[in-house]
Amino acid sequence: MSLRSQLEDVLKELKSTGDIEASAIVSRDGLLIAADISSSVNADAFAAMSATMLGAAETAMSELGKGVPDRVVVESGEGKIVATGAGEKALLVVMTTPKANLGLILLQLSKASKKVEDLLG
Amino acid sequence: MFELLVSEDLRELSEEELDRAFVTHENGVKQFLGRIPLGCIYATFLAGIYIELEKIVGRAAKGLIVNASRNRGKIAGSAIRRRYEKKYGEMDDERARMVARNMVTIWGRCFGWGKMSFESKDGVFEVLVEDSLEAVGYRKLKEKPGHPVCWMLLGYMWGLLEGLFDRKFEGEEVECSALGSKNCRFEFRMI
Repeated sequence: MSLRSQLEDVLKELKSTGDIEASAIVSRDGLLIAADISSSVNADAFAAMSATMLGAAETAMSELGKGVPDRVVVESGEGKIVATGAGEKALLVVMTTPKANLGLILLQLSKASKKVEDLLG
Repeated sequence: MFELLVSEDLRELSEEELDRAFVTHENGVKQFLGRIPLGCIYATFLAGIYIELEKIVGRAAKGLIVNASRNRGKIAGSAIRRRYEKKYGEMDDERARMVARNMVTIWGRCFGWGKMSFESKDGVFEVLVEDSLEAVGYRKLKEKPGHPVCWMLLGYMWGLLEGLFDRKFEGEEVECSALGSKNCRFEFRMI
């Protein structure tokens, strides 16, 4: 099984937990690696924006002497975006429904990001 | 001008001939294809912007520049394709390949983006650039990046190919002279 297929399986598994509408694995430099996302969304732009959010948050926290952020969470009435690191090379980002249980999502995300980290080496 | 771009192999033309063919002067402003204003920038200009952007968003700076450039390249490629098809009928892959090669020739020789060559085989396109504007900028600034740095060129060529061929590509800068390679080398693959 190719690396891409294995990464896509991680995203499928994540989606099967419910309340996750879309997800993507993105390189730290903002390029798309794998995605489970509607064709109406520009996946490449989503990848660049997610990496930028996390990158900017890392810079801000570092400037303030508060260490490296574990994740970035963006909430609106229409849903949530959560971006988290998945090792040195990548990050994992999900879009959820508005009523998604954030605690549960973070737990699933933590397991998935570890798998991604292991797969990318 | 447009006819020349889509019908002739421009590699044999000198810099002066290319300038005469594609660059006009109007009210003191240089224009490409008679409609797009041109201006020179310092080689260090883009490199300086990238360095500052990396200070703000880290490695994600690459994704921002590559994606933005890719989108604009795609708009340019699609516009050329549409203009061609309106005038001459469907643009086949052979024609798209020739136009892409001509655009690379113009960027290198008219615009000064570096000495560029373009080859294609079995759906893989390779562009070699000697003294790419972005890599030269890093060298002039005496910056030693840990990654290839020709983000504008990568994104714009990538998008141009997608627009011209009306297909998705994968793209990567596999060697960069800012990292010590002789040339910058880009690979693009049809998906």
